[in-house]
Amino acid sequence: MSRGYVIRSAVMAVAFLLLPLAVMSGESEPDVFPGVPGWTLLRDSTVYTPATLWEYINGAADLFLSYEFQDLHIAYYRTSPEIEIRAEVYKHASGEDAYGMYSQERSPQNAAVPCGAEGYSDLGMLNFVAGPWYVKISSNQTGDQSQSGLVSIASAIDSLLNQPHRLPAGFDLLPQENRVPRSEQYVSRDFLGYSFLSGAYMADFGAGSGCRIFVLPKQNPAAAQSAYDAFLRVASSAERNKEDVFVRLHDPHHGNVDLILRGNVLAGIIGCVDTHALRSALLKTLP
Amino acid sequence: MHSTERRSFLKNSFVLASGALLGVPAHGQEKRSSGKAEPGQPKPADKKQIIRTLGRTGLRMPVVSMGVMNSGNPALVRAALEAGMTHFDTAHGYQKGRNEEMLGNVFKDYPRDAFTIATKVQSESGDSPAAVLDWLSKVDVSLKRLQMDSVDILYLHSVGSRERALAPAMLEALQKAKESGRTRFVGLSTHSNEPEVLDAAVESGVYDVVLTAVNFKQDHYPSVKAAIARAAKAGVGIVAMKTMAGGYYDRAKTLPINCKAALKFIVQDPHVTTAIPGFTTFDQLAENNSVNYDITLTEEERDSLAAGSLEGGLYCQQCSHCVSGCKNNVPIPSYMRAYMYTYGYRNLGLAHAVLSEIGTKQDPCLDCASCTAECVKGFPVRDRIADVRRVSEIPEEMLA
Repeated sequence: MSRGYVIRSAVMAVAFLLLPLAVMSGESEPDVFPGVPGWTLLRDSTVYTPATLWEYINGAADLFLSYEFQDLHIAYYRTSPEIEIRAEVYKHASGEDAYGMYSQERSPQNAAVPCGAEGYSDLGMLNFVAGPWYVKISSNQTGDQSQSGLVSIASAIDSLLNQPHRLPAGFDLLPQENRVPRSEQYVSRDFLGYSFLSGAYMADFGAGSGCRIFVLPKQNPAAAQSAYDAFLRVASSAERNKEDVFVRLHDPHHGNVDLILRGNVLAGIIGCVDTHALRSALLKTLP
Repeated sequence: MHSTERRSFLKNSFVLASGALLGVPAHGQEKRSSGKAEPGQPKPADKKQIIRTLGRTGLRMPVVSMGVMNSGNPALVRAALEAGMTHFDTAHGYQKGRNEEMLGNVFKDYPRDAFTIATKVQSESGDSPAAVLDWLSKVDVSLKRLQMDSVDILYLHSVGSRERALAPAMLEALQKAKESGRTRFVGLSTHSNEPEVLDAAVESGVYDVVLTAVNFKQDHYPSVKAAIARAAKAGVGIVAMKTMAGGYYDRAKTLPINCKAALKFIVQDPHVTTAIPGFTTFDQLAENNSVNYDITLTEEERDSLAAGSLEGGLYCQQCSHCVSGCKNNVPIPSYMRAYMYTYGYRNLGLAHAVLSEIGTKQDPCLDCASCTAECVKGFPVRDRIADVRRVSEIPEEMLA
């Protein structure tokens, strides 16, 4: 047996082990990269999985995994003269998870773009979220042609993904009035540093005020009650005025929290001195 | 190292760890008073914090620090500081820079000598003069986000080979960062080929610190440990990461690792100055911080690591309990053995031989909508069968 044959066999055997199960079973990968007029599409054959994402983004992978990252596909769009745009499409388990990861990386300083459920751009980059996909498009070149290319490619990918242009439904439980645009965040687990608070939708209210409202829709009232009780247990104090539907607790790490339990939803207001207006607004959106 | 050697090494390590190495202060290690206790934080009044010196840098820090990569919660960072942790690790790329911004906003309220901070910057421009400028400009962005003139440790992020560790342009960039006052000390971080990279770091004479992946589950743990010892003896400070090995033994995340035990196991190595677990809750902070006062592995912790590490959660004890629950009488233990050979031992030949003994390449689970077989260890039987069955498709001659 030739040495070349042995090496080739070994390489094939190792490559076999590395093949994702989906590929082996004949399932086809969904195409997330459309053709864009004027640009040549070059797909990267490497698909990153939860086990290999760290090879691409190092320690940043851990946070993606906490938002149920599924896979990452990468492609390059090239045009002359010498402009290359990289498109990374991260798929998560749900629209909430994708939005959660997107909102962890969003900078409030960047300009909004009408792409997907929400998006923003800066020099040489454009990120947006569409359903379970978090899409990052970037280029080392920052000229006009490159910037317009970012927008064209983002729009084409958004069309192909064909997802509703709306935030995850949980945000409907937050008031619209005085909500700071693009301040919404979804925190999948360990909200406020507590393992009993998972699946939190949150936004800022009143620019610069520091006020935030959060809602945690749970599967049933008992689960919401359990989270409520656990929150009360970590509080150093809790008080409720007569006929008040909110309880004000003092959290040792976050200060005062106005907490309310409504059916299967636990909600609260943090970072505020005067919570009167926000309480009223919140009561209108809760079940 | 052969797997049986590794098992033997691990067993010996656990025995040593529980005995001779424990209770003997390492070189450059002291215990200091715990100070005021914070509500909910473990600062036992009767125990002292274990402090070590980071190689030739002279920086002193508790054996457990905070990897901030998973937390955008400033309250958690403040709580870690209040609880006595002093070293914090971030990176240019975490949360697209928001992690560094968050830390900057926290640390501006503390005296600069109340903490040490490390950040990591990756080079993506190859080994050229342009790469030096590109890397230094990223460092400047990080400093601006952190609202600091200088960090304590600046790592070249994710170095996976000797060649990369010794790339002339990056060594020049690191030295310029140090000379210009952007950082007090320089280092590299490595997730792969750790022994080779650790040795290269020593050889360079440039790196003051190495941040290395190291944990009890690594197949090559003995060689990583030996390389850590060589580097430490040469004066390179050692910071450990990935100590909890992903938190689970299995791919389906059904078998959790005892993370506190895993952390203790690594910081028992006196050559490791500190570890940087990436906790996200106050409870996890409390648990990790308790290791700063007591690195002794309990018998239960020792047993949990020894049992789990032996086969990395892949070991099927061949009890056959599962077979009675399978309506097709599938030889599940044999499939589990093949799975262990494939993923545990990386020996496709052995796995193929076991599957050949079973004698069919067809999917034995094909006519079952759901799996009725129950594994006492909680293995996802059906998934593992589907996965390892692929090995039988490989022509035998390719495995010669």
